[in-house]
Amino acid sequence: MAKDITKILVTGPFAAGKTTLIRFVSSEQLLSKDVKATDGLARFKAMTTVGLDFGILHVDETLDVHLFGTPGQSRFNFMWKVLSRGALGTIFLVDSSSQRAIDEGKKMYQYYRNKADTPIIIGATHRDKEGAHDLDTLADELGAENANIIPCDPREKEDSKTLVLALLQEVIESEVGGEQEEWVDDFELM
Amino acid sequence: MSEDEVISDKKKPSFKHLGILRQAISKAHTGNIRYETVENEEIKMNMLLGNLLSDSMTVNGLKNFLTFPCIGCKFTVECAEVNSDDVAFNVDNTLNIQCSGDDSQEAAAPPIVLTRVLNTIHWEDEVLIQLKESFSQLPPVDVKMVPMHHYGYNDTLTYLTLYQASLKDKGFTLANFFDERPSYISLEQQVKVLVLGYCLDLIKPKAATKKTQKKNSRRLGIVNRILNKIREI
Repeated sequence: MAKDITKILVTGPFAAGKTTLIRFVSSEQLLSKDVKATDGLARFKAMTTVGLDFGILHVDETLDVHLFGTPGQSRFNFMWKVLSRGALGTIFLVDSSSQRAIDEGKKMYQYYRNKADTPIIIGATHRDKEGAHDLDTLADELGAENANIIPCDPREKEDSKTLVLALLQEVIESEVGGEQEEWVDDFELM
Repeated sequence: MSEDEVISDKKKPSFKHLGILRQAISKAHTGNIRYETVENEEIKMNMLLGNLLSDSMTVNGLKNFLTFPCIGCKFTVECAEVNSDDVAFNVDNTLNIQCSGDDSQEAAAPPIVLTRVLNTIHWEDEVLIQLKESFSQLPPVDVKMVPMHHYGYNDTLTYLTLYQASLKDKGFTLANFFDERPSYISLEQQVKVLVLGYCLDLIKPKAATKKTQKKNSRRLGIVNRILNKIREI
């Protein structure tokens, strides 16, 4: 029997935790090439991903989810459009303690919001670092005032799972959002 | 003019009246909520297109409404034909209202008045327990995520905790939420986000969500299978 394959995109500027998230939610990780950062990013992060991260989550015998992580540097932006095509949704990770990452993230976020017609959930990472922006400020700086932003640490497996679950919930809501929701009268407190 | 009404047992005042507020907000009603306190005092709150107004009578009434159980409560639609185009917020967050013939029911603003009042109220221990027991008896729920940081609510962390817990458990109930309370969150913080989520209809019975989803079966079927798999990881 042919398998259904669906795709989730994990994106965001450098050093946000994309590789880590994909590692936690994949059954197998096929591609990821971390190399020593040599440009201006070297003082923020020793190793960085070139090419792309790719992991597969085997859901069951008839369904796989392909998780694509885009490289975080803007010089790879030619890949954003290709990778976002046909995705179920996008997880957008951003280091909320780095002004440089947020500035870079704004361009990326606007790109995905305008070009990719799929739900996006934002994960605000590095919340434990000094200077981490609060969610309201982060939303303003990304130009994401109406987006759902979830504080998270992708190094924690449960946080990584939460982001994927939240994205899937957004997908469900975007599917049924145009319809009249059921109203249940007996959902009453005693 | 139409009315929704709940009446509690006079011997046992309840929080059933929160259902009236929930309905008025969700259905973007315009009119007023009148309720009777245990001291037989009648209090009135004004609403426009599902938003509580910021006049002092409404704000004080809301404080009482959320803090104490009550006996009877009803919502009266007085001016159902208000268009959101005819609504303007002044600098001091009060509202200008003009009635017109248009029947648009679009909500005008986030629930700032509700969140501001919730930020300030406190419950007696006995009332907290009553609210906890009431919420615990609700059937399994889904919790909806919204950008709470724009609503002026100052405890987004507890709401996120509720949301995350609901995502991870297919049969999540509010009793589970209380049972798994982390030490850094108080019972009052939990009850507050439940009152907020309940009144804004962000907490819904699971059965209602499933009925809606049936209509979009294939794609949603795939998404639900992935959801279940992720929960198991």
